[in-house]
Amino acid sequence: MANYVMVAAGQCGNQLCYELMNQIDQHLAPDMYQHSDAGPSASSSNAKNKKSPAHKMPTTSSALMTEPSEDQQLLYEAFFRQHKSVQAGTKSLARIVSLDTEPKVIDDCVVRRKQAAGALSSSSPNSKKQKAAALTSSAAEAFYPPWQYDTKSIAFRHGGAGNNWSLGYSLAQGDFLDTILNCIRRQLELADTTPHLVFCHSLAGGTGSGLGTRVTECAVEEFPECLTTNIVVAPYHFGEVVVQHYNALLCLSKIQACSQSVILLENQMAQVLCQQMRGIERPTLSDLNCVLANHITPLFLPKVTSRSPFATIRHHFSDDIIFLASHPAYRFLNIKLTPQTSKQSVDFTFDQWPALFKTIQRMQLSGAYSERNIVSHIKRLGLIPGTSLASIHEADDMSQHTIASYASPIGHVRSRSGPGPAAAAAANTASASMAHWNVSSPSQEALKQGGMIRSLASVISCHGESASSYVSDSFLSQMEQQQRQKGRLPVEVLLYSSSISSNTGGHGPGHGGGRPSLSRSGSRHTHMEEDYRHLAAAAAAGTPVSPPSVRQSTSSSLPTHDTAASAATALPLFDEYIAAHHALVAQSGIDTPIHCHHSRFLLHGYQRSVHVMANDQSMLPILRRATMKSEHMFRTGAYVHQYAMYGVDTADFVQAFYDIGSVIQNYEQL
Amino acid sequence: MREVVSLHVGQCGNQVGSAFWNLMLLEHEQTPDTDPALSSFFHFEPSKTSRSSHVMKARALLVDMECGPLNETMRSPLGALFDDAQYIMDVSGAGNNFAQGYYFYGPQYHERFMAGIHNNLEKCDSLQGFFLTHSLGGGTGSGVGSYILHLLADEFPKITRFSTCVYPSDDGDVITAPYNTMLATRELIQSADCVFPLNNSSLFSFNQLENPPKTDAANAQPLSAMERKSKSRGFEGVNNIAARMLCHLTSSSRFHGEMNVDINEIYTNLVPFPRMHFLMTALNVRHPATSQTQKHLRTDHSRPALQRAFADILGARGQLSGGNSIHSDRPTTMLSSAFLARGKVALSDLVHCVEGAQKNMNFPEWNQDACKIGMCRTASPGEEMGVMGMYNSSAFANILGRDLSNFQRLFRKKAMLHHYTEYVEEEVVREAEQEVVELVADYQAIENGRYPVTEVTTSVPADFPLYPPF
Repeated sequence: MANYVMVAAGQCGNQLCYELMNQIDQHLAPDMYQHSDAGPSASSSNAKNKKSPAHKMPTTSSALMTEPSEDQQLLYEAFFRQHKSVQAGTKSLARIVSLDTEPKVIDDCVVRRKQAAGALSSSSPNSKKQKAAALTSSAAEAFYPPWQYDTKSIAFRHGGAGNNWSLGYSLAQGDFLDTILNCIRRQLELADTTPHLVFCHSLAGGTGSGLGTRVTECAVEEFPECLTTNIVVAPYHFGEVVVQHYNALLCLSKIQACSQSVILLENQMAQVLCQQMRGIERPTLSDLNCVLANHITPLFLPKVTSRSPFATIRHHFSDDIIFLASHPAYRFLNIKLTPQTSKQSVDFTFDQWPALFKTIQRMQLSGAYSERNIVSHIKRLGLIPGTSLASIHEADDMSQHTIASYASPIGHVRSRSGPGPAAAAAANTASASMAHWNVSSPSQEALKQGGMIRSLASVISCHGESASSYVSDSFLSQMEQQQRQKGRLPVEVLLYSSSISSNTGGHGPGHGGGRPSLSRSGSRHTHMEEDYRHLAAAAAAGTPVSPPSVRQSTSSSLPTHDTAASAATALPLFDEYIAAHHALVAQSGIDTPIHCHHSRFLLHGYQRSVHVMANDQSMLPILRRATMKSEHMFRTGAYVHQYAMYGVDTADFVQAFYDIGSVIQNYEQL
Repeated sequence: MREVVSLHVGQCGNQVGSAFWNLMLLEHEQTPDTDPALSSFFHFEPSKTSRSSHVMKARALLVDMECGPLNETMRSPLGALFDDAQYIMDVSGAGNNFAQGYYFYGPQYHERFMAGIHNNLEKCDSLQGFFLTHSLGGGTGSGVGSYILHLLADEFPKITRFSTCVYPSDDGDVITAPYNTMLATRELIQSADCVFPLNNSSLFSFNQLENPPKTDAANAQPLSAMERKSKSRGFEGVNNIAARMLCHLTSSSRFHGEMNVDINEIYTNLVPFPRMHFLMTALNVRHPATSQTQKHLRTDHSRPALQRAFADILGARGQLSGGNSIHSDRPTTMLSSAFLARGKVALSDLVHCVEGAQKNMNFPEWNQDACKIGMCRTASPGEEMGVMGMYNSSAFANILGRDLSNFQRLFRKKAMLHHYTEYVEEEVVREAEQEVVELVADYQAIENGRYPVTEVTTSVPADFPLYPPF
């Protein structure tokens, strides 16, 4: 299996990475304890400050642990390197590269980790003396010593990046960049198999966004054989940093161009979850990090897929990424997790699989990140005629349907079952709806506020006891059945892009209609790009673009917008995606945009939990907010001089706007 | 570690300086010598005489054109922090005349200033900024201070220059103060990166709130009229407040915290347009510890305490810059703001308070959430927690406008002008006036939604779509 090398940049990245490693450690390592006794040494659970209740799993669960220990060791060593030396004995060093422009945060993390590890190792002799009987426990501890930072993989400099993306970006050059790349290279060389690079950083600050971006770019260039994933944290809505939208825009525009996949998380989400679900009235930053890490951890746990005829095929994070982010235009992933009840009430909660599935489906449909938010989300959806959840069920009863019918504010359901003429009619309705989008701003606003979330693909994973039996028995077989019977996907499961659902059953109708318009939309793209190049060149040359000529060019581009919009059923580059998807489908033998995995891990101590990673539209609000707010600011020219100081000029901004705008457009046309 | 070199110029600047260093020593009382937190303001030198092998020295340069205040510092226990090379003084004083300080003493001491700055720089690994403290009313602080600022801008254009300047109060005792203020403000506009204007009368009233004059008969000490006067006009408390503001400003770059704020982040976040870099400041009022009613507010992580602190820095009580930056006689527009919390504060409490504060502020439509927040774990000595607010607001136009009209009243009559024409052309004074008038107009224009012309506004037409429509 692939090894994972985490690269944490900036304050947020390092703090999050610390929490993430802790949780991965708790999930992968202490399994060993379970075989020995139900209550492992109390001292160690005290010392690790936030032992998850996974530690206190009932003994019955140990029956499920049938994995051989070498396998477990392999899993563990995907994240932690066992370093054996004569003097210090075995140490497990996390495969983390910590980067920052000031030493304080990294110092903090390393010291905290050392203290935790020190408390553990100092307590182990005691426990040895006291409980000689619990030999297995201490043996396990010797086998999995508390993880530590690899001090040779830390690179920092002094001075900070001053919340300035361009400063952070320009800091990584010369010696400092060499040091960073050497750190990464070292970790890659220490890995047993081709590693997967995971970058962890924030979008708001200067170091995380700027340095993180630069390092991602350089690493992708330097180590092209590695898969890359960026886990980025968007700031609070109200603003932690005044220039956060600029930083986010610049960072995202560069990252989506070079990294394989981008996982977007939000501070706001973490706070809401803390307050509403966890019962933490006034969460601190470490609480937020804990929630974010809760969402990320399940990604890295190994899962088993049950769709294969050969009983178990392991699925790892890398496989999921390859599956989900297989097209360069669609690289944004997001994570949803249920249940999210507080730790105290875990013992009193009994969620059944169907209920959990229902919840996660609704969460994914509505784009809500908390179970409790769904209601309000649905209410907002209800404002748009024809796009309430009820209409989905109605639509489900109809013979055929497409996603556009939900998306269109008019809300009519159109049929796609018929050949030729019906497809043309479908194109017409689509164009009508698109025209409607362009004309009436309120409904467009409403859509932006809360349209139904459409997905390209998603990976559902169930964690807990009897997950395998549920997944294999009921859920997937149901799906399969429905698909066989009706030749389409069950809509209650997920709302997928029309093209996929029509294409998964072979070459569906309407596919042919997409081709000509594709070229047209392509031409529109080049046209736009020309405009921008013109503007960028003018801006670079310092000569003001004369307004009339630009107005001319924009007015000439406007009709093309319209023609493109009228043929909007086709997505730019979408055929490629379908092709790639089909290739993948053929390879994996799975012919749905949904992968379903299960694992026996009691995720964060929950008896049952469901986790979804999806390539869908729910990150659009974040992108829109960043783009529109920075546009407002950019139009007045505020703060631009600070970026110009470090080499980011007007043309770069214009390019970034265009890049992110295109991403949004692509996703919106799903 | 990111180092900061402090430059204290003139009597006021040096008094604020000594209060600042006193407080800084107090804050770092618990810090071990090896802690990098120390190195931003201090460095260690091999000792020549004393028993310990190393002595701690401040990264500072003390400048005055008369010898009184500096001699005082030298004699005080604080004097051990500074080498002889860190003092630059003359005996005669700049005679409350900007022109004399800038055009006479400036060139005369140029070499020594440079030597003093370089002497400090040699001991820095990665210099991050210069902190200049001075007053604008007198001659040395405004004249020599401006000269040094100009020097720094010429020699070290990449290093951020922060100026903490004390604007004279209206009932000031220096008659040439309006001239000095105008001429120095012009230099601040041109050469400083961030200016923290303080106002003497605001500082006095803030001090009154914190240390109310004892009126009850039981404690009344018989004070002579002279003593009472010196006590009420005493600058000690006032200087301490200015020093506290400076310490708070730098706390997050020195100590650990959940959300660190380096001092260069302040510039990035609060200065949207290069010339508009005047940041009004506000501190929470520290309540006397004895007051029983406040006891319940002094618990850890208490939201009421934080809310109370926010009420101070948003209201008139906590303002240090003269005039309320949020509610003045007409609605003010907030270009950007920052809230730095110190001590035991939960992030969600801070978020709650900041969101409340945002509702009271009038942000420009292009930046509705112009707030920077910071959190530092270590509180200032003697309090559980504290908050500082920084505002880049159009209210500064009122403050500067007041000084401008004071100046124009004198200048129209050409009163006192001959003191300045001794050293410089009248045209220079006129240019300075013009510069300040433009800045005031810029700040006022914000309220009407007009902003300075930038490269973007000239090169990107307003109707040009920046991205494909979505």
